Amino acid sequence: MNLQNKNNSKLKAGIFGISGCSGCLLSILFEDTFKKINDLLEIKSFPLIKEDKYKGDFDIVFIEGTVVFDDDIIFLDEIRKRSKIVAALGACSCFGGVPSIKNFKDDEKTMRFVYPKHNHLKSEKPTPINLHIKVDYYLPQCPPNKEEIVSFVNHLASGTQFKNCQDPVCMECRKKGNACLLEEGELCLGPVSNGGCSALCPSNGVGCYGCRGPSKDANMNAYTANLKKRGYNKKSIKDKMETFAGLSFEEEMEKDSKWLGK
Amino acid sequence: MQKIIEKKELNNFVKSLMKNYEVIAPVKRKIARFEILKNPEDMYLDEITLVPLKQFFLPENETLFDFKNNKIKKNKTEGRKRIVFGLRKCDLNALLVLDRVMSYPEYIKKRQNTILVGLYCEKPDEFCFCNSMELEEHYDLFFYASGDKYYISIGSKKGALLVRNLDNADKEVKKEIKNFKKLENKNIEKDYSNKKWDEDVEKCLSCSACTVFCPTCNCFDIQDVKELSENSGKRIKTQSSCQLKSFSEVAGGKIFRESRASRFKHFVYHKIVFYNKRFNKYMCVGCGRCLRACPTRIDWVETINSIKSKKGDKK
Repeated sequence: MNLQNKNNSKLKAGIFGISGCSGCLLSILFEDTFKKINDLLEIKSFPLIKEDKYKGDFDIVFIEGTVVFDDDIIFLDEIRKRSKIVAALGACSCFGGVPSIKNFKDDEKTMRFVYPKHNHLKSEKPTPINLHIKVDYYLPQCPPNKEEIVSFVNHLASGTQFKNCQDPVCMECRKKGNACLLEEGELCLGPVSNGGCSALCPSNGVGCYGCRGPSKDANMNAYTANLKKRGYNKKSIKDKMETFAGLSFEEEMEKDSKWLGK
Repeated sequence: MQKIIEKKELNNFVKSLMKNYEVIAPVKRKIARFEILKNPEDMYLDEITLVPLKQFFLPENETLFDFKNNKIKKNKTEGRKRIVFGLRKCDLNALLVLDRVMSYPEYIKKRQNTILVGLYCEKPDEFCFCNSMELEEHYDLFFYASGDKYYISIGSKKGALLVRNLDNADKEVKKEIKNFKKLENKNIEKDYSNKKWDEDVEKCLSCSACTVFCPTCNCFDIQDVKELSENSGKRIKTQSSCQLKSFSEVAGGKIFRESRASRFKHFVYHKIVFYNKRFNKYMCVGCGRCLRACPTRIDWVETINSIKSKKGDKK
């Protein structure tokens, strides 16, 4: 989409959060990321750091967080109408993230475990934003990759095409010359997860959690068969997958339903 | 005439080389790899490295040129003289394979500035099959261990200059590498659609570990990176892999090797068949790194062997 306007002014941007921890919004403020994107964008609204008085339209809006309450949906609808482009920021808004772990558990039990006494509270189902509005771009990861945010904005401002990394985490991990964590007895989702994070976790000895979502080319059958050989059971694999990108791994599983022995 | 050096003198010898050269040698981190040596005692010569040498000639990210306002500024490649120590026969041949296909100036310059010192493989492991790949003798210096001494063969003038102060050997030591694994038959052109391949393809995760650790894999991607809010940027060459879907994707979204089978088989057939057609040499050097690195233990060498042995039975 070409957003460049005739008088060559900067793109108007908004950075919002719905139900979430605001960590992704914060990651924009870290280091010089904010300075860099501020050079290219005219940031009209950013409620985290400044009171939001702007009522006009946006060229680009970043949204962090999961949809949990009805208010979130109303807010999303309004923002979608006001913006030419919507980008989902972070694992929560792309895939449901950590809040959506609840979707895989028994609703009532979870509710009573967290709030044993507050009977008036009602349980909601956390969902990613693309189930409610059209999303043009995804900037996953928990928290999002600062370099990716800058490069996305750079592409947008210069009118060139932005593309997420489609390669598995293993590619970047092996390029760094890391030892394979699977071989070392660590449960790692690297082979089935999207890269683009320069294999941050595996490089530091932590198995990949798949916070950038499942790779489109993932071979789930071979992967889980291999993990079972290494002594992991269905539950431990599922638990790991559900941590950050649970809902989209679930989709991937359904495509490849053989692997869970359904 | 071979030269001779005591095993315990090796570290001192390497130390003396480090005065004038950048010495690259295998070291053991979590996995064995080549690194620029800071201390001769770090050197680890007991087993073949998992990470190949190619990153020193084909870096993961390499800036080809910078551009600013339609003007191109070429980067000068550093001309530091280097010695690579402890190369196995497969590593040395892998460089010959790359020499035939890589002809851009950065690569050639790095190659010319590098002296190659080989080392005889005492204990090839269960993945090595270099004897099957018709390797050549190519080195500047080559070390054969025998007793408590190294016997050094000299392959070039550059190499001879390095060892001119060492004693001459009283006898000639030459050994052949003993492999356990064999690639029985390399004439596999007609077996492309053999069903035996499917078992391997089913196991493949397309994680590209085989190509990243292959010493002869050299596929790359070219990207233009624009600087923020300026009319400048750079063109970089990054390491890529034929096992990735994105590798064969072209403008418009068409992917030429969509299926996992075609990608997996391309890796094997490029090594054994396609390269051989052009250069009459095998691209595979039999180092077995692809088999060692594979998380699902795919063994394409055994697959070829079983395809071929089955045919022999029928006849």
